Amino acid sequence: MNLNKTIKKQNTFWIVAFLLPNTILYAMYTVYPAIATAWYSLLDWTAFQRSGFFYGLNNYIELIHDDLFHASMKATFKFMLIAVPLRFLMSLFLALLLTWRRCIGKTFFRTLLFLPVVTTGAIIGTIMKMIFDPKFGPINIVLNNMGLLPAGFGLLSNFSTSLGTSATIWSWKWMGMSLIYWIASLQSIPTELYEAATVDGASPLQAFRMITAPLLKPFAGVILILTVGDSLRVFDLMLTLTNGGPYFATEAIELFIYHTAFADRVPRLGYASAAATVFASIFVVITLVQNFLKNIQRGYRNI
Amino acid sequence: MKKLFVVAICLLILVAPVFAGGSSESASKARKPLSFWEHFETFSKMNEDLFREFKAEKGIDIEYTLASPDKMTDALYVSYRSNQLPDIFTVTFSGGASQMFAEKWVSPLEVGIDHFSKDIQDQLFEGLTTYKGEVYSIPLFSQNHCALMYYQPSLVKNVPVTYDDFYNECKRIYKESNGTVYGLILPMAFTTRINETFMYMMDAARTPVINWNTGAYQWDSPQMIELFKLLTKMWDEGLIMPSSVNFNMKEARERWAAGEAAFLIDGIWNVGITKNNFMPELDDFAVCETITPNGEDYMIYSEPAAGVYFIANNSSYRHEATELILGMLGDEYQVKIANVQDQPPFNLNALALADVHQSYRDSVDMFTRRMGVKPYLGLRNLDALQIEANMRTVSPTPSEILNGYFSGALKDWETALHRYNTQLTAARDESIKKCQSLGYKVSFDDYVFPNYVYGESYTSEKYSQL
Repeated sequence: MNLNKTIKKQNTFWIVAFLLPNTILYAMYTVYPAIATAWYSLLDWTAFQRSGFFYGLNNYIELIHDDLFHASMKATFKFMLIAVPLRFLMSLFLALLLTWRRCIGKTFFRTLLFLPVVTTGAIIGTIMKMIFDPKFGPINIVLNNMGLLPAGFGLLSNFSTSLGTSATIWSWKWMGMSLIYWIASLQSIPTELYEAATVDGASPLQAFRMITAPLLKPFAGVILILTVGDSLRVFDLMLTLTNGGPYFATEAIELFIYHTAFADRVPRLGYASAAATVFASIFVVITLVQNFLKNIQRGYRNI
Repeated sequence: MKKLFVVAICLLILVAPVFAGGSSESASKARKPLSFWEHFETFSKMNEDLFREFKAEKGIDIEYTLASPDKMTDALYVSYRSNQLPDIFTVTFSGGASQMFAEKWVSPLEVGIDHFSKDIQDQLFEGLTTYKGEVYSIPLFSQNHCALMYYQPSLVKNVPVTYDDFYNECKRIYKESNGTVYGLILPMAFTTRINETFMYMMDAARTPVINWNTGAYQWDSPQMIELFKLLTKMWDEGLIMPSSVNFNMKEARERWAAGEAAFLIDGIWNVGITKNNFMPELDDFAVCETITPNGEDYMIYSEPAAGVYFIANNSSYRHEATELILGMLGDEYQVKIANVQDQPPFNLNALALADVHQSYRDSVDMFTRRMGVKPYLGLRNLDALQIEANMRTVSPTPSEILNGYFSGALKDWETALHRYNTQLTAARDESIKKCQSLGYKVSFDDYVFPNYVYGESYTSEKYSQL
C-alpha cells in the first residue's frame, strides 16, 4: 500500500515537473493575451493612447452594424469553403498517387510538394503577385494564349476572382502538409488487406472504396479539423498578396483586425480586440461542433 | 537528488531569459547605441556621414533602421506600447502629432523657441512642432504635395494641362504602342496616398475637400465627380495599367520607371527614390503641373510645415538627440537634403548649391508658385485638433471606392461618394460630441473660416481678423 502511494506520488511529481514549463509559457503567451484581448474589447482605446477608457459593450454594438466587419467575416468563411475542400481533396489525390506502387520519383515529388510549406507566406505572396500579374505574369500569358482569359484581366485584382485565386494559392502552399498526413495515414493500412483484395479479384477502385476509404475515415476527421484551423490563419500570405483588396474582397478577419488596430487613420485597439474576441468565439464554436460530430461518429462506430 | 536536478533545470529554463535580458542590458549600458528610425529611403546614405561625425564627437553608435513608409506607423504604435520607442524617429501619420504630444510619446527638444531665428520661429506651429510652448521638433522641409505629374518625355508628346489633354495623350500613347505602354499607373493599394492625391487635385480644381467658408465636407463635389469620370473612363478603355489595383507605391514607381506607363502621380521624392534607389541611369523623366478640369489657375494647399524628427519620451539621449536634430537645420545638411532629391529642403536657397535633376528644380518651382497654407484648426483652438484624432474611420474612402470600380465590385461610384461624404460628416459630428464630453472646448465652428479666399494663403493676419 505504501509502495503504491510512493509510486503515485513520484508519478505526480514527474507529471507536474514536465507540465509546468509548458503550462507557464502557455499561460503567458496564450491565456494572458486571450484574457487581455477580451478586456481590451471593452475599452475605447486609440493607438496613440497609453491606455483606454471603459466603453462597455459599445465596440460590440458597433461591430454588429459595421459592414466591413461583415464583409471580412464573409470573406473568411468563403475562403474556408473554397480552400479547405481544395487542399483536403487535392492532397488526398496526390497522396494516393505518391503511395501507388508504380509511381516513380516519389521522393522527388514529395520534396517538391513540401517545399512551399517551408517557404514563408510573405515570400509566396510577393512571388505570386508577380506570377499572377495581368500583363507579364506567366499564368496570364498562358491563359491569354489559350483564350481562357481576356487580355489584362487580373485574377488577383478582380473582385470576383481574387478570393478564389488566393484560396488556390493558399491550398497549393499548404498542400505538402496535408500530403504528409495522408501519406502517413495510408502507410498505416496493413498491406495484407490489399493483397487479400487482389486475390479476391477486387479492382483498384473497389479496393479504395472498400478498404482505403473506410480505414482513412478517422484520419480524415483529424486532417479536416487541422485544415479548417489552418484556413483561418492566412495573415502573412494575404497581407503581401492582396492586402485585403481589391475592395475588401480578400480582407479576411485577421487582416480586418490588423488594419483596425494599426493601419487605420485612427487605429482602435479596443474595437480590433472586440473583432478578435468575436472571431475567437466563432472559432471555438466551430471546433466544438467538429468535436461533437466526431464524437457522434465514434459513437456510431462503437455500436 | 533526481528531483532536485529536475527542479533546478526547470527553474533555470524559466529564469534564463530574465538573466539574459538583465545581463545584456547592464553590459550595454556603457555604450548603448542611440536608436534612429526613419522612413526616408533616400536619406540612409546621406545620414551615414552624419552618424559618423556624431560618433566621432560623442562616442555614441547609432542603431539605424530604415522603415517602409506604409509600415512605419505600425512599428511606432507597437514600440510605443511596449515602451521601446527609438530615441529618434520620423512619423508618417498626418494630423496625429498633437495627439502624440498630448499622450507624451515624445519629449521636447532641450532648447526653447527663443533659440531659433525669427524665420524659423515663424514656422513653428502649435500641434505641429510645438506644444504648450515647448519645441518638440523642427521643420526640415518646405511645403510640397504629392499630386505632381511625372512622365517620360520619350513617350509624351503633348504635356497635358486639362483632364481632356491628359485623357487624349494617354489614349494616343496606348494606341501608338499597340497596348504595350499604358497611359497611367496608380498605386491603388496605398489608399491613404491616393486619398491625399485626390485632396490636392481637388484643391487644384478650386474645390478643396473642405469648404473652409462653411466647414462642410465636399468629397462628392461636381469636381470630384468629374475627376472620377475621367479615371473610370480611362480604366474602362484600358488606359490605366490593370495591375494598379494591387500596387503599392514602390511597385507602381518601379513599373513606371521601367517604361510600362507614361504617367505617374507622385511627390517630389520620386526623383530621388528612382535615381538613388533603383534606376540611377534613368534620365528620361520630367514633371508637369497638376492637371485641372479646364486648365484653370490654381493653388494647392497644405498645412504649415510639420516636424520631421522626434525624440522619444523615454530616451536617455535627449541632449545628444537635440544636438543631432538641430544640426539638420545647418546649411550643409540642407544642401545634402536637396542633393538626395527627396523632400525639398526647408531652406530653398540650398537648392542653388545642390546638384539635382531638372525635374526636381521644376517641382520646387511649382511649389513656390502654386502652394498656399490652408487654415489650420490648431492655431485658433488647440483643442480642435482632438476632433480628427477622435474621429472614427469611415470606409470605403474615395480611393477604395475607385478601387471597387476598377475591380468590378461596384458600379455606382457616384452614390458611394455621396455616402462617404455623409458618413464623414456624421463621424465628425459624433467626434465633436465625444470631445465635448471629454472636456475639450470644441464645436463645428472650429472648421469655419469665413475670411478664407481660394487662391490666397491663410496667414497669421487672417486668424487675427476672425
